[in-house]
Amino acid sequence: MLLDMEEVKVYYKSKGGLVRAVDGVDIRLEKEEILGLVGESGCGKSTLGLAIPKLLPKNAVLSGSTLGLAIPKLLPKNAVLSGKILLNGLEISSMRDEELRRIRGEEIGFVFQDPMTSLNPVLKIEEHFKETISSHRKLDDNEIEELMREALEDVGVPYSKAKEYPHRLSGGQRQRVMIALALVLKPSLLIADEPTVP
Amino acid sequence: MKLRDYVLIRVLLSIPMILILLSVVFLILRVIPGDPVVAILGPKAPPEQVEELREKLGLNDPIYVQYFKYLGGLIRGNLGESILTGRSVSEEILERFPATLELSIVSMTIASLLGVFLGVESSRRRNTPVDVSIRVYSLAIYSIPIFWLGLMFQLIFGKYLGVLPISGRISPLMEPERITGLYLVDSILELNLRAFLDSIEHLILPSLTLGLVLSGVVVRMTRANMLEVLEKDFILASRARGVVERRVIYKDALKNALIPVITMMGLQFALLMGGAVLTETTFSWPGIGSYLIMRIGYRDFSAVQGAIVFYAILVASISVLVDIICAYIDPRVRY
Amino acid sequence: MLERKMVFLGSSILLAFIAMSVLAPLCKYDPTRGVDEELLPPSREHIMGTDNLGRDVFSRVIWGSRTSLLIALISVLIASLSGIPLGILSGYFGGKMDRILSMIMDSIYSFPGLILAIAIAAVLGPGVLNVSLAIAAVYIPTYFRVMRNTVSKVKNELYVVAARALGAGDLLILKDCVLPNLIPSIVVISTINVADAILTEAGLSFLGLGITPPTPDWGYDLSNGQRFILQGAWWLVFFPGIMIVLVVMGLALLGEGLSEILNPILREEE
Repeated sequence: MLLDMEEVKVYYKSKGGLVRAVDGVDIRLEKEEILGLVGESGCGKSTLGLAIPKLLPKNAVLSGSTLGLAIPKLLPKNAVLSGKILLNGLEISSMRDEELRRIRGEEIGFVFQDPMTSLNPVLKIEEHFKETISSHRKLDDNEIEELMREALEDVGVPYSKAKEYPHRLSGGQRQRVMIALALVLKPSLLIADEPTVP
Repeated sequence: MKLRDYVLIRVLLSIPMILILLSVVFLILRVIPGDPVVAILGPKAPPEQVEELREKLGLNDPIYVQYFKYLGGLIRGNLGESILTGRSVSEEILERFPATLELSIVSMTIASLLGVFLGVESSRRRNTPVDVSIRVYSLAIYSIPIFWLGLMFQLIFGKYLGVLPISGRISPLMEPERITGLYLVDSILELNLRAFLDSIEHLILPSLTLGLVLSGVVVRMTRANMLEVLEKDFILASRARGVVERRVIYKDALKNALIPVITMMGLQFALLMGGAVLTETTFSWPGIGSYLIMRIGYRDFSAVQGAIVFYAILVASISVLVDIICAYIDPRVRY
Repeated sequence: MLERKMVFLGSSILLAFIAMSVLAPLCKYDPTRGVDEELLPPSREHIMGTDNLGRDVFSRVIWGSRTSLLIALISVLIASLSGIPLGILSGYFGGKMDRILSMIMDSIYSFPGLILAIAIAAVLGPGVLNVSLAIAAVYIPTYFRVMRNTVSKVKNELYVVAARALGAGDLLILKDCVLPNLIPSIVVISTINVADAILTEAGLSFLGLGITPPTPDWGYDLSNGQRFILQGAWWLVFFPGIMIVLVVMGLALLGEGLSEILNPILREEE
């Protein structure tokens, strides 16, 4: 089984008390399966997604779907995560920071909601790829370029755009670059945060 | 737009600024009450001498004539002649410029490296004891008068520990041959190790003094900007892709955070110049700052005016340079 | 709340110094005349020692607070009284005058403050008023810029437009709509400027351009004391300096704390 989430809860500690964003969720996902989580704004889809890879954002706005962020544990500091999360049989919920870092990007790909703000404005597109790839694998420049080409081709973005800065790309291209970045290392799990919203 | 075009426009825009500054200097030195000639010669000087000096300095011409002569001279790089030494002021200033430059560069380097590092580390550990102590440090260092810090260093390292010299740029008769005027560079070019080490010994205390005081501002700015940048989505995105944390902080985040800091470098430069005057005086460092103060003491009107004009032009130039660097780093700025 | 502690600590320090300058006449010794042997190290008689003319350093340090605080307050007063009205008018009426004035102020603002003060002080000569004027010139652009920017921003806000539509005159608008936005900024900027003015005044005196003897002045004492460092007379430079550090830190803490509390407007000026 690819993804196994058992009794996962995410609570936020706020001044008004405890906010129960996700209150006991069970999800089981096999390889090649796609799970779509649909719900009203603020029902906790986003938080659940953030909980798994342990990267909780600081002030999570509970609107839209940030479900995926829970998986790579990208939740803010005031969030409390409980429950078991297993990826390919490995227990993510109890991993240390460095192990988690290695899994993010390599095993778990994440496509963010807003392509305008999810790309670093002072880095060229190719630099985004290079830092991602070199943080996980020891490859030489040519091999890195190969992976980049492949990824961009898969999403239909011309390779020439790699040398540009994000603000020079159209909204649609940026979204596709985000997907390419998520897939470049061929992760086994892909989490997409409302990927069709421009 | 292309970087080249931006540079051109920015340089053109600096001309009114320089003009304003030069006019302000003129106003201060000529129009403010107080007869410079009396100040120079003293109240008991014989009237013929006073008249002679007035003629020589061109103070009898109507104000607007003086103004145009002043501007005209400046365009040709003529800053007049020193009343004290009779030499060309521009020559004297250019002679002393490398000393100030060397001090400034080393101090700024210390301030930047220390300041950015502390600012970044402080932002990563918000509200922890480390963060608080770094913030206290930056507040304290701002409150310490540069000259007092310098004096304390002189006491500790010069008097009590006796390990470092407390004045001058180099030991007597050890100056390397003058190629750039920067002793560190010149001594390397000459392969003169002793001169190199001696220069460093003399540089340590003054640059440490100035560098530490300037670092306070850098810490605060870096910290504030980093805190803002670290909240951004693209940082979260980098982490989600498993980018190594050191890289997320020191490349992805810092590159964004430094842009406003570099803009602030212009302001920093002004602080640097002011601080350099005090540092040079404290350590008897033979730069433009100590030149200015010394000549004020001698009532050398032309020299004083020349030095201030020099500062004005320097400040304007650096301001243009900083903007150009910003445009280079942040591609969005070029419209 | 860290900010409250900062304001509390800062105000306490400031009050202590104000008390010090007010109560200065209670000092046992006259700070302007030699009262004992020269260059005595700190002792029970003279807790901060004596200087090279036999003057009691402790008295000089206490009396010195008067000089510093007085000059700092006067300069900030002059600067604010000049810069604030100019900034408000310029921001409110806009137009060519605003553009020219802004350009002039920006140019002066970018010029090193200390060097500007040095130039003016050199021309005017020593004395409390002259030094205050020299220092004031440095801060006028700060007040101008903040006032101008705030006013031109507020000018276009809905409630001002509404007030004008209802027939309110310019003066009334300035008073009721614009001013309340400005007071917090003025307070914070002034606090920081007083701190800076103390440093600048000390610097000018250190360079020989400020207050002349025999008036007690911290900056002058530091410059005087430098000559005796190699003789080991550390008390001449240590005590006046530490005083400067304390009072400036207190003011800076106060300013920082106030700024965090009264925030958003100032962010852009930082």
